Amino acid sequence: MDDLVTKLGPEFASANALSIPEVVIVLQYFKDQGQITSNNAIFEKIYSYAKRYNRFPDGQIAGEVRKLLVESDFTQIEITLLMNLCPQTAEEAKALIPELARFENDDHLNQTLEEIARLKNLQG
Amino acid sequence: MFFILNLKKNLLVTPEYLGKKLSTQLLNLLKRAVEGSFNPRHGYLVKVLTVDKYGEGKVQDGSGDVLFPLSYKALVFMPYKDEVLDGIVTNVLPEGFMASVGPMSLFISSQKLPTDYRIDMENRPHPRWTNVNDSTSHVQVGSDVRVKIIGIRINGNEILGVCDMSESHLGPIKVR
Repeated sequence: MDDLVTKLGPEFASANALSIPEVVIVLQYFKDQGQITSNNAIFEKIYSYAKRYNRFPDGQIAGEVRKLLVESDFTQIEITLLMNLCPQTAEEAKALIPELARFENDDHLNQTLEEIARLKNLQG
Repeated sequence: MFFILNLKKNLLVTPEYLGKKLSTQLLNLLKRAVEGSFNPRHGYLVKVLTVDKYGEGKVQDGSGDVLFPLSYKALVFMPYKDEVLDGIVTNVLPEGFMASVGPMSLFISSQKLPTDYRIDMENRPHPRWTNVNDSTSHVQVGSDVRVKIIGIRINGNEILGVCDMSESHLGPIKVR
């Protein structure tokens, strides 16, 4: 998070990054509760954006993907971006997420991406 | 990127809202004050999640209004330079194209497209950018693209992400 805090400002030092599948779960909760203030025009825009680009609409699978990435020692930002963008190869992942250059050997990254793809395909 | 952020706000409460159920009143007033807003320091405030703490209110001289310091958590959308994200194309122009990420607009200049993209303004029903080396690859209204933010311009409540689509693994994507 440190590099990003430098970029984004001190407010983000205690922030938690949330992936798109998790954003959908949070927003869906408030939607189901009917707790949307009428002046909040950006809520609907963010909700439909997040729904459209949600690669893990099955919340349980999303949870398993996060668990896998946490256990494989990825950082919070890497986890969020991997869940948002779902790259298929280590080469693609490194192009999209420069932080991943710290993995000199691609094997660990490729294995993790294969496991994510497997979980993704379990969804209906 | 989306974040859960710890934020503070001094909320001025008029006397009619004071009394029983103060914490519910404060939460509702806070939501009305901040949800849906944009702030250059923390981005778009999508939703207040919880009020963690409210301090002792200070009565304001003359008005009887009370100022409460609040600490709360909110879900925010904060785009940043070098972030790669997906968006939906909203307009195709000879100068490039526009896309949107929720409430945020993106502009991708023709200079920031791969060199094998050509504009076809005559295409119907929609003008489009086409990859001359891959006839299945188009950028047109409603299509999905993966781009990288190279600059952010803020103008009041409007924010424009200036993006690049020329690097490898960026470009049109299939969402489903």
